[in-house]
Amino acid sequence: MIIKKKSIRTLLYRSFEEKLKPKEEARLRRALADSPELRAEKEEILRLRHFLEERDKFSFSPHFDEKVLTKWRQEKECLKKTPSFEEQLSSIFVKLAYIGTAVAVVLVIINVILGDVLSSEEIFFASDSLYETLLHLPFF
Amino acid sequence: MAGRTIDLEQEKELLHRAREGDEEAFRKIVNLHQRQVAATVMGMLGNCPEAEDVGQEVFIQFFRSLDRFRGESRIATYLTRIALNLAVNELRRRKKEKQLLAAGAEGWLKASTDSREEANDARRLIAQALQQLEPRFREVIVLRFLNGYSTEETARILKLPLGTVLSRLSRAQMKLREILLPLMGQEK
Repeated sequence: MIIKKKSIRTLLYRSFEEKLKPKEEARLRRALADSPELRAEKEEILRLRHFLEERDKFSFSPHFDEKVLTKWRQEKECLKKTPSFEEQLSSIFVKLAYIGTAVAVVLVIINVILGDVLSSEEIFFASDSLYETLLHLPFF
Repeated sequence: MAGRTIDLEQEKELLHRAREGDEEAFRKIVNLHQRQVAATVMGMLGNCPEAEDVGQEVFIQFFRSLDRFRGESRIATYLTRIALNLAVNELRRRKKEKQLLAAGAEGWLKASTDSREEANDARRLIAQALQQLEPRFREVIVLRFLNGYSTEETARILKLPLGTVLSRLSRAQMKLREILLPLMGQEK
């Protein structure tokens, strides 16, 4: 009896969403005619569905669009400030160039102090003999 | 279905303008779909302060993905998916922080029967009643009734078999009938 009641309820709920087969429809119609309880449930479910479907009840606060756009503008600004991969790469090369220049300047100074141990060509063009000569400097 | 107030051609044009960076196109997208996003987010999270933040994030995520959005689905469906995902993430975060609203929702329902003003607020009534459903039941109600999708569309959005959606809908309606019907008489 409970199983039968359960399957009728399943049919009732399905009937709101899809067209039942003729046999199922007839069965549900009979059950509704026989049971005031089931008829009441059908009415209540229809009321509930109508209540839920009045979906215009939901909205965000006034000026929601402006809030979203402000947030979007801020995000775009942040993206502009964050350097791209190419920009980051070129900044690394710039740093390397500064370091290279600094090393060259240091070598020139050492050269001047030690009295022409290295030729200017060796310092600026980094010939093979440069490394050998560097290794023979007093501080290595 | 909610949110579909422009045809496909107008939607394509709007998307094109948005991709070009036209701010008015962005605004129009927000205004066209905010009620539908509100229904999804508030249906899932309740009528809480975080709902609006999540709602804003839904549109921001959509704008971020504009270049990837190829128009296989309508904007409304795409936004609903984002809204559902973000709402589920928010629910997980709440669960983690042990800030489940169940007790709060129960308290609110009691309070709403005491206060005529709040009982008249259908939006709160629905949102809080939905909080008493498990998220898997809640999401089918939100999509089917609050967003107005058909059961087939709901099944597609949730990537579930149609039978599962139908069965969850039935169970969710049985539960909502118990919670909401005694209070609905007081709603205007």
